Amino acid sequence: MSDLALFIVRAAFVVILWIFIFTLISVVRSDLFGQKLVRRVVKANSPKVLSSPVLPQAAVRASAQTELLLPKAPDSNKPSRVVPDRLLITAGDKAGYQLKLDRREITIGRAETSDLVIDDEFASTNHARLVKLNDEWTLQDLGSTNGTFLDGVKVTSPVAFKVGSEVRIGKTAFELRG
Amino acid sequence: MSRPSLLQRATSVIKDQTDPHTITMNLGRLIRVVPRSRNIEASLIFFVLGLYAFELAQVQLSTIAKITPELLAYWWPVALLALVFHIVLRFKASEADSLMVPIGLALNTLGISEIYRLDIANTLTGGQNQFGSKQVVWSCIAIAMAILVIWLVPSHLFLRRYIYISMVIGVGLLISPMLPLIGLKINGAQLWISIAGLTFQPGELAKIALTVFFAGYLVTHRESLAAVGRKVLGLRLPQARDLGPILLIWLASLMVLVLQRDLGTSLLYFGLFLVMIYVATSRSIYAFVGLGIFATGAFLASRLLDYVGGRFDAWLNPFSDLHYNAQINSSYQLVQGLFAMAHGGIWGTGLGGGMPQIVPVAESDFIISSLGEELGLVGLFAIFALYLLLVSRGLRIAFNHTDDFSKLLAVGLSFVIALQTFIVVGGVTRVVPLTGLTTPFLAAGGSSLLANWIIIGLLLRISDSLKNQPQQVVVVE
Repeated sequence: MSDLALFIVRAAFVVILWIFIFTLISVVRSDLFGQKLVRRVVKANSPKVLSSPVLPQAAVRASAQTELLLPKAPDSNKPSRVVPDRLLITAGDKAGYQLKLDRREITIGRAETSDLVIDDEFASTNHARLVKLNDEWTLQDLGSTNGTFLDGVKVTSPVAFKVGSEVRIGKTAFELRG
Repeated sequence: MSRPSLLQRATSVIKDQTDPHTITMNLGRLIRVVPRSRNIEASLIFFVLGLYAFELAQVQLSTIAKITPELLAYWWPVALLALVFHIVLRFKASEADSLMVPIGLALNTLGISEIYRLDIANTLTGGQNQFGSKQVVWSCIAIAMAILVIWLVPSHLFLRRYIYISMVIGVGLLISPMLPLIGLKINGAQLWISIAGLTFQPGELAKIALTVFFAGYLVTHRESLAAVGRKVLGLRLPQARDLGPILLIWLASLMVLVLQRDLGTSLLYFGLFLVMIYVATSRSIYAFVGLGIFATGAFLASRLLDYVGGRFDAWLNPFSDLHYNAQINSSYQLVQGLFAMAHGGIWGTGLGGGMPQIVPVAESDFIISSLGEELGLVGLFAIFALYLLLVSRGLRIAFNHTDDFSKLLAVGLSFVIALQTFIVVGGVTRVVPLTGLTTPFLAAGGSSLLANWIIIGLLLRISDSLKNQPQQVVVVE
């Protein structure tokens, strides 16, 4: 093999190696700042954001077209009819975090194996649980020492947990969102 | 508890919408349910396998000027295992990190190519070295172990139940090279065990066991370690009784230094402990005090013990005739490694174009100088960038987790790779004294590959468990 050909092969290798590294970096970048595709999808699926008056003119025009095509938006006047799909933590160490409700049962407590781990001295190891029955969530206290409170009332027997109510365990508070 | 499969989720999205317009509107949702990370991983794995074939072909063209079927024998076992790993991840950990496997594979295959190149050089001068094919076999075993970790370990949290067992295992593995009958001394350092002709470096596996122990121990004791004691000279000192464990680890690492005659190993475990205690308590005083007492201990050892002192002198004055021609603790290997990298310069001689075989044990301890000679500074920086990306992904997994054990475990596992790379590369480039540690993923040697692929498996398992965790959101009210 001629020296020139060998030189080209060697130079090509260095170039390909660095292309590989920059490919990796671009993946890291898109993980950090998000992809454009994802942002578009969020817009298309959230009519509330699109119809808000503060949006620029172009987006409002787009919403006028999309509203015809979108399935009927859930009625915001009846919050109890909304099927919740996530649990939002509003107070405590994990305030601002949300948990997807993609399971039938969510356990809450200090145990590492709980779905929602509450690191709080007022919480018991297995404190409470949420169970899903026919799209309705039920809150059950599992004999905790310091109690579980639904809208300020101590939970003694399983009660329905609906959108708009707040559950408080120790310093942590959370609610359901649709 | 089971989550609906991707297909079910995708078809339900289609079934919901009968109007063709709404199907196009929901195409975005459809795209979103496909695990994007696995598709990225698949394309990157194919990229790496192509790069691997390129490396092997280049090695053969440069050294024997033809391409032989031996190339395929080196290529396909690793390629097969990598694809099996990817498929297992699709089913068992579909939302695990997408870059870990491609980066590990890229480093591992680059190492195999360079070792194969050294084997060819050895064969051309009448030798019989077969490190390359051994490395292929070990890579397959190591990747298979990582697959087993993903397959058998449902959650990394179960490791927390066994922290004291992992401490016993870790310490046992650490002291096993000093035991009679199975202990083995190579180049003055007592880091190997030999059972039935197979040599093994147990310290490599000990680092995983000790990381698990440190993570579990610090989660339970961080509150008292973080408690503030008296204030002396403007510094808030920790309470005296909380210094107990740190002194214990310090003594243990000095024991390793004295008995196993290897500064790198003791630096690795002590550094790992310091970083984890700093991350757990966010008190920098532990890091400063720890580094101070370690430096003092290492200095005293270098003055009091001949063999440690000899290594230090060879490191400080490698070019003096006395050290270069010395019978024990000679700086010959170190100096040859430096000459090799100088020969490579910025652009390198190209794979197969240099003379890396002149350096003693070029395929394991000095793989970095071999690669530095053949790929040049450009190639070495590419390798360091791969390590940097690997470690940053690991730290990101730790950052995204909310529970402390997962955080500490991920920090420890990724930091141990970073620190080991630093100690080895620093040793070869004469930044720190030369040690007997192995370069992660690159160096020839089964125990090192095994341990590092298990670390990758554990980090993937930890990153996959993120999907069950509460996610941070920006709350817009």
